Amino acid sequence: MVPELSCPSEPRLLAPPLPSSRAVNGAGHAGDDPDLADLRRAADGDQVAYGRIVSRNIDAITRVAERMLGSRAEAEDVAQDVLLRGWRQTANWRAGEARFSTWLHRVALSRCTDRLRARRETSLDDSAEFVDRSPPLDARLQQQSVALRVRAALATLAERQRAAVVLCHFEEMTNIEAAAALEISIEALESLLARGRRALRAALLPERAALIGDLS
Amino acid sequence: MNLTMNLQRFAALIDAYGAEPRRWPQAERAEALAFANGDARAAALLRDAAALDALLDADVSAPATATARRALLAALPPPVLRVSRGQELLALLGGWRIALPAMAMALVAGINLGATAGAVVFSTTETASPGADSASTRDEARYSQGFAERLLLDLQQIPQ
Repeated sequence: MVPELSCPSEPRLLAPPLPSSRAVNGAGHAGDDPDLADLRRAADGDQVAYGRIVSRNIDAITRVAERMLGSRAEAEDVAQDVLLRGWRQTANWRAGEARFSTWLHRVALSRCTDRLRARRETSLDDSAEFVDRSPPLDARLQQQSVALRVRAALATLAERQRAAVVLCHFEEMTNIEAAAALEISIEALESLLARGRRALRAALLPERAALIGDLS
Repeated sequence: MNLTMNLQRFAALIDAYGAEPRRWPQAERAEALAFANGDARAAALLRDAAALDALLDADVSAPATATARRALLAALPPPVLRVSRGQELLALLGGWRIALPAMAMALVAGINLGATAGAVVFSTTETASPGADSASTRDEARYSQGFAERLLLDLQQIPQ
C-alpha cells in the first residue's frame, strides 16, 4: 500500500536508482540522458549549456506543476525554483541510472507537495478554485470548459495518484521514469495510476455526453 | 522478465495506462497489441479507456512563455565551480596560511620524536659496552637533545 499523502523526501543529488520492475522499457536511463553532455559543461560554469537544459525541460516542469497545483502562475514559480536549484547542483550531479530530467521532476513534485500542504493549512477546500461549471461563452471556450472540468477532477485525486496520472498520461513518461520520479516501484505506480484513472472515470464519464458535446 | 499476456494482465494494463499503446510499457506492448487483436473482450476494455483518454486529452497545457525562459536564465546566479578533493581538504584545514605552518610544525615534531626514540636505542646499546662510560654519558646528553639542538651543536663543532 502506498501512502497517498506522504511528502516526497528532499530529492537526493545522486541520480535515483531504477525502480524494481514488473516490466520496464529501456528509455529513461542515464546513459541516454539528453542533458548529460550539457550538465558536464554546466558543472564547469557554462551558463549557455545550462540554458539548453532549461529549454529542454522548462515546458514539462511547468506543465506538471500546473496540473498538480491548478495554477499557471504558481507553476511558473515552481519551474523557476526547480531549474535554479538544478543549476546550483550541477557541480554535485553524479550520473547514475536515471536522467537529470527525472531528478528535476522529483524536485518539482516535492515543491508542489509543499505548496499544496501550505494551501491546505489555509483553506479547507483547495479544489474550489478549479471548478468552473459555467456554460461556455463561445466555441473557442468549449474545449477550455472540458479542460477545466478535467482539471477539477484531477484536483480531487490524492496527490500521489494525481502525480502518477500527470507523469504517465499527460507527460507520457515511461513507467520507469515516472516510478523513479515518484520514488516507487513499477507495481506501486500501476496501482496509483489505476486508482487515479478509476476516480477520474467516475467523475468524468457520467458527464461525458455533455462534455463531448462541448468538444463537438 | 517473461510476461504472459492474458485478460487479467491486459485489463490491469489498460486500467493503469489507458487505451493508447504508446503509453503502455514497451516490454509488454507487442504482447498486449497481439492480445487486443485476438481477444474480443479486449475491445470493450479499450473502448472504455479510450473514452476517458479523449476527455483527458482535451486538457492541453500551454508551453512556458519566452518571458518565463528569459527570466529564468537572467536569474541564474554565478556558477558554482567544481571543487577538487584536495581543495576541499585544504579548505577544511583553514587554507594555506594555517595548513602550511601546521604541517611544518608537525614535520619538526615528527622528526624530533623519531630522533629521540632512536637516541634511546642507541644510548642503551652504548651503555652495554664496557669501558665506554664517558663517551656514553656524553652521547646520552647529546642524543637527549632534540634534532634542532643537535644540529646546532654539530654546527658549533665545525672548525671555523
